[in-house]
Amino acid sequence: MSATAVAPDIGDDTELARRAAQGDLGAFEVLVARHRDVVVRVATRIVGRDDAEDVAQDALLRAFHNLRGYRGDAPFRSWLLRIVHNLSLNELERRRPVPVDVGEETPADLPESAQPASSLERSERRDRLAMKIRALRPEHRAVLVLRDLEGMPYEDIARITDAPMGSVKGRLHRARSELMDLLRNNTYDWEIPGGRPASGT
Amino acid sequence: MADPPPGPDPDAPTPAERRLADLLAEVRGAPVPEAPDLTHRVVRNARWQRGVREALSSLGALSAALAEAAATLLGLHRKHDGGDPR
Repeated sequence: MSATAVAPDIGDDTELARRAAQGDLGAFEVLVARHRDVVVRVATRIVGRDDAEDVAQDALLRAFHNLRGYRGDAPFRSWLLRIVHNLSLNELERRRPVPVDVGEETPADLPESAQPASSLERSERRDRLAMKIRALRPEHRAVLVLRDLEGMPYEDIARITDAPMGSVKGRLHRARSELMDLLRNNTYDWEIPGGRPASGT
Repeated sequence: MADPPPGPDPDAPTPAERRLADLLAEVRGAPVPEAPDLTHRVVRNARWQRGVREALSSLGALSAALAEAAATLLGLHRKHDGGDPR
């Protein structure tokens, strides 16, 4: 996971948000620097690299204009990520569905430099998996990103997605199952080290 | 009598779940795109957008005040017209 933004520790988020809501742009700048990385990361993993920065910028500006609505009864990060989540899903809905090729790949399909044990191979495998994650339904994808990639607690995810805890867990279960089904089409990535392709759930 | 050997843990992840967790861990560790000037851009946009909002808000307040003044004057005029017995 990437390093978090290095930002000066001037007061906690709630205090900074209160000052920013009163027009203190310096306080807002510290908040942005503090949360920029997670905002860009979540947006990238939900909408993809091409639109992530636009979504991130839009989310941060919306947060600025709505800071008076932040009451401080939940972590600022959750409040901010809820805006990111909603904008990301809006962006996906706005787009035409782009078919994602999640067909089978084998080592023979890859360039010579992408053979196992090379860092390039790992990088390409990550790209393929990221592509498969983007093939999941947006609601499932968002929960999988927040839980399995960001490691957030269920309570925060429920707040961010505005869904009951049970729905969050259900979506996560379906997302993982869906992803495993997609991966089963790819025996190369899905191969269990020292064994056959993984099967069963 | 010795306890029977424990069976497989029903909550233990299956090989498929373990493999998925490994692959997701790789994605989690992937480098994230950097947006070095995002903070600067966001704050710059926030500054001018706040300026525009304040200007529009002031304009709205001025328009409301003018409308209220006009309504008051009109009301007085009508009252004056209505109150004149001639």
